[in-house]
Amino acid sequence: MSESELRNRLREARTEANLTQAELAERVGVSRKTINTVENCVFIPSTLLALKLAASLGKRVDELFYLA
Amino acid sequence: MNAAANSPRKKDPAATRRRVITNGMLMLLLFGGGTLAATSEFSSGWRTVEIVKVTGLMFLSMVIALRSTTNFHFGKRDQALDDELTRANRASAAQYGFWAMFIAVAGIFIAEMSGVHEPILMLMMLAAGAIGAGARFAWLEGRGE
Repeated sequence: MSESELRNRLREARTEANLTQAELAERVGVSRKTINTVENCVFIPSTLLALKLAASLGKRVDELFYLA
Repeated sequence: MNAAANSPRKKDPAATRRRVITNGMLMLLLFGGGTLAATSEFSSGWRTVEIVKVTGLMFLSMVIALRSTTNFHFGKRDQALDDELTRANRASAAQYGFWAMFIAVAGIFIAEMSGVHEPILMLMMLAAGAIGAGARFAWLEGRGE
């Protein structure tokens, strides 16, 4: 069985919401670096952060994050 | 205010922290190397200047280890500097620091068995742990910049 990878549409959702990485970071209470690493699939966020990101962008978690 | 917040010249505290750790490690390597080179002079007994030098290096190692693996900070804390990415980076840095120190201890143990008895080797253990943790933390923190 092949391993699934977690991907996301965070950058698209953030751009759609007209937010910079720094602005989104401030909304969810993390550093801009965290947003950058999540967008580039370098860092896998916790469930709590995923929920906060989805809430602040007005999306569902499964709209932002998916398995590839 | 927004213009200032988006200005590329605005200081990023995470980048400052990474720079401080990197510079600290360079200082530790430079001065530690110099101290190690003078090891044979210490063997006959330590003078005050040497004790001060070694204490300074121990303090520097401790600062690097603390900054790389914990949220220890004097004064006001920035919550964004202690988010989950930073905590994950710290955990990984602590693991690297542990293994660097473990390998250093093993090496020093073998050296002791071979008849080398240098008190300065203990400082090398601390420095290895601090540099292992600091280098890993600085590299991980640099990924998102």
